[in-house]
Amino acid sequence: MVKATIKEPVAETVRTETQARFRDLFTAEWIKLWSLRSTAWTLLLSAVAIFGFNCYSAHSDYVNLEYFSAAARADFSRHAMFDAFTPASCIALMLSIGAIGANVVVSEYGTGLIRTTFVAVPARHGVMAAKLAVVTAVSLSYGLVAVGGSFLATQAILDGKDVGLSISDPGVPERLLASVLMAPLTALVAMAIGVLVRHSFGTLSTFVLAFMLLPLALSERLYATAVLGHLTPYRAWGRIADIEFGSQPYPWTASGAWTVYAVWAVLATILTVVVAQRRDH
Amino acid sequence: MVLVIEVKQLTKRYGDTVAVDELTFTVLPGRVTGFLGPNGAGKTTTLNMLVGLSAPTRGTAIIGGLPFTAHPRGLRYVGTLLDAHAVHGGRTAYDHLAALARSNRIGKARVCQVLAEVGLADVAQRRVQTYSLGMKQRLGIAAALLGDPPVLLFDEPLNGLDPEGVKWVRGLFQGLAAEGRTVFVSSHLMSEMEHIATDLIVVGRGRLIAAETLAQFAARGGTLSSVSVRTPNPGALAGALSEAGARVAQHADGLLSVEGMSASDIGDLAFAKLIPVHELSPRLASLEEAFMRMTSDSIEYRAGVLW
Repeated sequence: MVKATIKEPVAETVRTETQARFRDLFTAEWIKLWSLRSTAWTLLLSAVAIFGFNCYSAHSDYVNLEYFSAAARADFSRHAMFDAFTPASCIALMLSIGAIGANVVVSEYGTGLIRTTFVAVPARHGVMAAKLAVVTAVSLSYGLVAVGGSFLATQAILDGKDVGLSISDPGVPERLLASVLMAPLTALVAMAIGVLVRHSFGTLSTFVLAFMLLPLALSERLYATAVLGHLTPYRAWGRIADIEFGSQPYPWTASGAWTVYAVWAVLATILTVVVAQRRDH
Repeated sequence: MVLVIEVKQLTKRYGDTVAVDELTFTVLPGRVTGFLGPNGAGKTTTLNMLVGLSAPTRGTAIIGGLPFTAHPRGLRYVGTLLDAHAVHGGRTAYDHLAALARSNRIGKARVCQVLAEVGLADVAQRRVQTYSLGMKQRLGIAAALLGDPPVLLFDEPLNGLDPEGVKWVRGLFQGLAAEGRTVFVSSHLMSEMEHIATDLIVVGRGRLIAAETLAQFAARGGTLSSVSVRTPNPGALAGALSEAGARVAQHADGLLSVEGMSASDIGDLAFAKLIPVHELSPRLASLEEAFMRMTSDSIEYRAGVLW
């Protein structure tokens, strides 16, 4: 008899709840991200490092320009692009954004907060989608600022000797885009590793080994390692940004490198949502 | 809105281990129901399955006629405190609750309201890592209250609370039940439940041991009462009592505790056998003892004997 009286209102409220907006989940995750002090500090410190590395590199080229060979000078736009976003700054970006992306999930799994979160929002895919959206928005904005700012600053330095590039020069936009998109791609991969591993130390070491160190270790000289290397986002970034100097026995296309970006991003997104949905907590 | 918790043949296996075994019980609105059992009895696993955090191997756990996970947002249906430590220490209590509230479209005014209700309003801007366990329990209770839900689940909510806090929780839970809510509180200590719960669900090794009112449980405790007997000749009396069908345990100091026979029958028997008796005192078993006795066969982790 109790059941008969309660069934109606429950069904009613469930219906209105389905209309509950995704925006609420997004805002909730936004509050969570920024209420951790480490988020702002990590972004600030890595921005300083990134600007520092790039401006230092641009300044070195500016000072040493007269010692460049004639061939190198003729091809200086590649060096100017190298200065705009150096491999060192790319590594700094991957490390900081990776730490933030991983922390968004690991901080919840590590403390058990994820249980509170999933009881508050039983539609787990909604929670994970909101996390993905917040992390993507923040990392994309950060990538725009870090890469865009570095480009403007470094090219202004090089313009002192009239060798700076403009954003409208051929090839510049897509090469910058590869650097900008490295930020959200890194964040998505770090989140997926976080959902799989769940422990903070394990997540960070897996991320650093697989995402950052492995691409550096795979040689271009052997066919097998070259192909494996080309499957990593870091090497794809180098390919699109066109900063791989030295000999390339196994060349590959930029569209191939873009495909690597896309596949990693899609796989990471799917993994994050599906694994969290299925697992017992 | 009044919601009943219905658990039917609920089973959870982890490999060969059966954490919850064919558990069936109902928790009614308008009362505080204690969920009692020794550590490892499957209480937390059962609560996890009730709120969809883990999937049952078999059976169902339903709240208000629907599985909990049928609700895209949960706070307005079921408020939970599953683990007071499940908070990020780097966040303030206010931010923690604000994020939780926002995900369920609950306003900031309600966040301040529950913070005041649990007595954390003054420390709401402090980071949670500076909190004591008792304060974290209060924060967990605040989170459970956020959605003003008809059903509340608390897993060991009294851990770390001082006596004043325990008294407050008791009043709070009884108040919530008086408002018609379903309040389900787990504990491994009978003494905690004695003054809080009106109904009891007792489990051991994942199985249901008892589902009844506290009064029924207490009455059952009465039937388990024993009689302490002191005599200069315990061996003879113990023999005679055993022969008469009583269960006798002899303590080191010669004191006998006798079950299954009333004090007057023991006195009569001793008189008939001409055994002097110096003390004969009936003892009503406390609820705690009744609980211990009922669950003693099902204790998962028992301290070893060291001597």
